[in-house]
Amino acid sequence: MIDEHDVREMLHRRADTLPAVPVDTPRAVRRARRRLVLDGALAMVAVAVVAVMATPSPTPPATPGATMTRLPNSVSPVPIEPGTYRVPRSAWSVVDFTVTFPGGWMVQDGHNYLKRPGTVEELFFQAVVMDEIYADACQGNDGDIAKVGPTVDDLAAALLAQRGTKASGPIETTLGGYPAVRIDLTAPNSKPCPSMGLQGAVQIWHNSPTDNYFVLHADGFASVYILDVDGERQVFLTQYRSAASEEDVRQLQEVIDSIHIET
Amino acid sequence: MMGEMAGEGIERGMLSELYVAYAPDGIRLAFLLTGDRALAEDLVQDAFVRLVGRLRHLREPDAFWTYLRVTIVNLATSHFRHRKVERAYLERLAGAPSIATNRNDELDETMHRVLLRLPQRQRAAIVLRFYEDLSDAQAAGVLGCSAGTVRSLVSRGMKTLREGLEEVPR
Repeated sequence: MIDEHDVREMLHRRADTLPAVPVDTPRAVRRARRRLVLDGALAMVAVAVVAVMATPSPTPPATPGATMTRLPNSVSPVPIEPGTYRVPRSAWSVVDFTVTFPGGWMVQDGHNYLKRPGTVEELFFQAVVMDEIYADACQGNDGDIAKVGPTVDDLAAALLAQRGTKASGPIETTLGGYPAVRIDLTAPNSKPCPSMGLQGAVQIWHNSPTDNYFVLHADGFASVYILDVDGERQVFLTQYRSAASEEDVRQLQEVIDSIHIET
Repeated sequence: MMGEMAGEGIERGMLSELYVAYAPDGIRLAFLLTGDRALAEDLVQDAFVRLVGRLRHLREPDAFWTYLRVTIVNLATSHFRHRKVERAYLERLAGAPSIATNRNDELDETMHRVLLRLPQRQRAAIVLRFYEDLSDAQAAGVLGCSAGTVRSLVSRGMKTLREGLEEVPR
């Protein structure tokens, strides 16, 4: 019977079967350099945009009196100063929007907004665009994909029909000045999903272009806000966990309520 | 700021140095996760390209490998996102000619193939713990889960690995 030592030895021997030097270093470096130059150009454009925004103008900012600051983009969560941030459209958002954060919030990868990440008091919010979900949240990416039609109602219906969650709604609401429906999700309290390895968590969707999973914690309370912004669907997602206080939940709602969509 | 980096650091060969320094280890890691050297090289190149845009955020010399490792694991997971795709791929891999030259190589290759049949997260947890020698907490950081979940993934992965090896014809 094999043990951890055997696996360790096998892995190192298998790794050693590869040559020490990668074959095509120049091509990889050229690709990376092109990407860096492109990012540099985009960064300069962004700086120019910020500079233009900072120039006194007869047009008032979207949120009067607010500070407009660019959000950092880092693999690890980094603290952000309290204030109002402008989030430009991207793979995550079909619209530009502003959002106001109080103290203690962090941003990860430039588009995941968290407070106390990795704890049972975690608060989370993101904008997201997606057109498919997992048919069974308990199976996640070990199961089938359910394609979702383009409308608000299509996504709401798909989430309500998804197996492996407790879903409620749709609740008619507004967000960012646009009509929306809200679907609330919790994980079932039954036995943990065998394929997940996440202690009772379930997997709602995977957003392919941006490589982002939406994992609903076993003790998580998620709300999916689905908006119709002039014919385009935009989703905002929130999640908090069981140890979040009433004050935390209120603050998360305040952050969501601060969203202002710019068209 | 980024323009300065593009204009100065890159010209000094920083990218080449980073690639030469880290790509070999990255390819080995990706190979263990995918079983395919060509795919491993592609994944590492993609990971490298993605990370380059974040170079300005990396303040510690050792951080590049940490970020590269996370990106490689995520890209491998993303590559095998659809179970059907993964199954088809692994079937092709199983049909590929063996390059083993002796009995030990054969055993290693067999064990690696069984490892590749594990669910992606179990496979990644085993590789991170036993090849990268990460602690449960460090592996949890890479996989985005708790240390307890890593222990669970490794335990279930090892169990499946043992069962899978028992089913392999000798």
